[in-house]
Amino acid sequence: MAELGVADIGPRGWLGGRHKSSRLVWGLILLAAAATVTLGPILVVIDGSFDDEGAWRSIIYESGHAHSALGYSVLFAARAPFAALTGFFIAWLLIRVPIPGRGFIEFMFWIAFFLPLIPVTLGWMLILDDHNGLLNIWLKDWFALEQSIFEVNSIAGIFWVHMTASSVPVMIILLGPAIRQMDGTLEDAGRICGSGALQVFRRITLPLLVPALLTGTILGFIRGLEAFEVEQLLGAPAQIYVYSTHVYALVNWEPPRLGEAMALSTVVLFALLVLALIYQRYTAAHSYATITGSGLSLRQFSIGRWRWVLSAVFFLVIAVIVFVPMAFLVLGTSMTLFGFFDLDEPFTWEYWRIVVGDTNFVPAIINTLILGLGAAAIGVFVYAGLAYAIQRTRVAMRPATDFLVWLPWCVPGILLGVGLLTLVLFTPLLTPFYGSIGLLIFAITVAQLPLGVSIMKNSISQIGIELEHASQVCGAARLQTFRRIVLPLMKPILISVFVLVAIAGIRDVSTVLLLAQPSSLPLSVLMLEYANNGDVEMAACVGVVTAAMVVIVAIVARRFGLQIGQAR
Amino acid sequence: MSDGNSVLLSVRGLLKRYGETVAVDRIDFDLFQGEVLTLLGHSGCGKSTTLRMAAGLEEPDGGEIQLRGKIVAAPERGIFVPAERRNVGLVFQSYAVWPHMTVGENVAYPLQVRRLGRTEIERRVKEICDVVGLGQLVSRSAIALSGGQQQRVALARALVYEPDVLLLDEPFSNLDAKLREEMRFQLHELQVRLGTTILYVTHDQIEALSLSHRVAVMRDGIIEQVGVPLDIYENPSSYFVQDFVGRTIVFDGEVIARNGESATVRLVQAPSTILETTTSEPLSARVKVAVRPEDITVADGHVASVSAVEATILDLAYGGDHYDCMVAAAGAEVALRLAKTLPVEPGATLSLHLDPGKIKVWPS
Repeated sequence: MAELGVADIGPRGWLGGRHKSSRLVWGLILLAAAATVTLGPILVVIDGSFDDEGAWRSIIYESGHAHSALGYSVLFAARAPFAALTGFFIAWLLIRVPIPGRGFIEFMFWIAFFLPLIPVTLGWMLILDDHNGLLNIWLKDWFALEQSIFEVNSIAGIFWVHMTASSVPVMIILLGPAIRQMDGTLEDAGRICGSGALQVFRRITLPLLVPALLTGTILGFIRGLEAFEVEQLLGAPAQIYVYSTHVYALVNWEPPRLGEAMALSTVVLFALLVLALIYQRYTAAHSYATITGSGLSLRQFSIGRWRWVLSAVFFLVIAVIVFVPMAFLVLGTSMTLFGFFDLDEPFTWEYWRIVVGDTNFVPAIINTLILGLGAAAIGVFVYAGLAYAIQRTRVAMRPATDFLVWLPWCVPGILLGVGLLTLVLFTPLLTPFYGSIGLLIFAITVAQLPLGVSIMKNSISQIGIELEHASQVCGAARLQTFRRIVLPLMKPILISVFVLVAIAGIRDVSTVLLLAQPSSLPLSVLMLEYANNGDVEMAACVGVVTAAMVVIVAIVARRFGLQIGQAR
Repeated sequence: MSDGNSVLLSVRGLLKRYGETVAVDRIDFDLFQGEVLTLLGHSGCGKSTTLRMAAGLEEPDGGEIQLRGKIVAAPERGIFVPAERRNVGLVFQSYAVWPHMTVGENVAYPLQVRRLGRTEIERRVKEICDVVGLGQLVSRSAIALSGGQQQRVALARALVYEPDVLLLDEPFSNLDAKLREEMRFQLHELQVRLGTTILYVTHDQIEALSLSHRVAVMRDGIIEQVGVPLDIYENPSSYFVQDFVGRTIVFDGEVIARNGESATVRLVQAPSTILETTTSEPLSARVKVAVRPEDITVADGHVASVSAVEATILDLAYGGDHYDCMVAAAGAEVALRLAKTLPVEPGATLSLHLDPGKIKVWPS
């Protein structure tokens, strides 16, 4: 069958990936690309911290602000264990007890997590503000109180918003799969041995899932140290600064105190790197609980009529953490004076008119769309290619590339922003990118690199290697196999990652904040600028639009059969 | 083996290491045009690794592989032709049917990769699907297939581009016993019809013996013996081959007299049993006396000849047209199939007559 075109022995193709030197060349190309993209911005920051001679002295000896910022960061991040425990119990109940409407409840926790933090925080400000918060005003009226009960601009306020809007929902999302994948026969074996349901939970289920819980806690702690929006909106007015908001303040100083921002970032970066390495070690060593069953064997716990009570409780929780802040947000955009229903004309479209009339608004919508969809489209293919190269090829230096790809995982968005900003401003070749939407797309793509690649790697590892080998034996080269066999088999995951990155692009504030210029301003940054200027109602208008975009993406994704909830 | 006897696949000094372990230890063999050669061995003997190196999915660490006279792998000279450029077909143990394609798309894939015209592809896909019995299923999604059907898809996909050599890696091991037997006959028929050259890997001796022109028995990375099935079974070159292929009953023996190649062997645990046989083992050497069950004549009652050994029935199981029987004989426990005509019950004594011409003597 020579006419079918089996090539004679000759020089092998570059992409054959089998030739030793071709492996080396490809390995070096990948490594260099990964290093430029992920290590570059970090090195710029570390290097920059030493350019300014006073920077280190200032943050070590003089700046009480820097110290208190680090202290508050740690304090807030310490919510992680509480969030993990709460999230674990909610996830366990949703998966193991047949609660009516649990599919919807779980989806709403996804929505709670996807909702941008600024609109949610604005919603809570409208409810719990010391002076104007509606709940405070009502409570004062009803009980004839002198003082407000709640104060949203406080440590407690920041805790509350974080726990309800991000920390607990993300734990439900993260721990769900671990609980689902547990091998049900392990529990059944406990029952056979004579243990009751509670004893099985205490002695078998919980110990098996402790690694997942701990992993979630470390992860929550790391994410907590990087948080920005809530702390900025609620903390800054009360002089409560955390690491990221302090850096933001330093960069916005006149003149900017970049050196100190970079020195402080370097400290945080190394702390995060250590934490992240501990996390990586720990997850690598404790993956046993999640590698076995299919989840089909999981027994459901019948609790009779109590399931309706539980369902009601969950719907109430959903109402409080999603619908109430969103409702108040919408209300806040349409009231002449927020909370005053007895005015002659309590409702107005004035704020919407101002926002829509703002020359930044329509471009911001377009920028956000370009940012979300652009980062998602580029990201999906870059992540898939990288994941495939790391997982399935034998190019040189894959472990190093793998590490670099993972690195942004422990880089706070604000730090990545500082790094990229410096890189663009001080590298003549890159200056044209300053103020372009491309720079923002790049930043989001880099920020989502670790998550994207890890999801894809996971997905590729589940594709039987023989499916690829079969293609090769049939005569298809590496790239052809990747395109025609691997990518189509990964389709559901490609869509998942596309959605996750698109939503991240729409939501993100801290990564793009320092990079956005008027020409490349996305909605999220526009919203923050309104809020920073005290125009809460206008910020709320933009918040409604942004939140709507995210919810639409999530619902469309679910319609397309995307299994939100199984992504990891 | 068909006409011409031209060598299609030639393997010389093939070596593969995984870290410290040597998976394939410098083996040689040739595969002739139209021949079915089976690599037979336990799991981990290196047979699958050898097949994968022939396919180009695994790079050898030493030696040379030639396909149709062209060197496709010679690590010492830096030559390696990857799988996609070897024009071999491979059916995987797991079938590796692509789940995102239909049956027809799976089978058409190798032809699309080779950039054949659409009508040509359609014609050949239909042709091969008819040959393997998939005619009705061409537009069926590959996920909705049974194990046997997936097997056929994999076979059709591997045959459709008329590869130089078809490599089969335990293709039937995931099928149930009945289907396996059916597929074995169909594959045999197909091979005869198309004259396909096949390198077959299996641990199943029945498949090996019934399908192959020649069998290569592998053990610990080396080939113990190559030969036609009859030779492998009747004239094993080592105790391993005899024990691995077919059933074997073993007694401890001792050489008590020698004369040239012929020797007298006595069973250690039954000193009255004396066998005249051939062995090169020296006088007084302890040996293994191996005999196939079918070379034992079972009789009722006590022994009447020197080449017989007395046995006591330990356990019996009714097997329809026969009895499956465990007997104690000369210090060994032996499983035998007994005719229903024999009066059998536990504790009864039997006489097992060993055919001296058929027994094999191996070093202990």
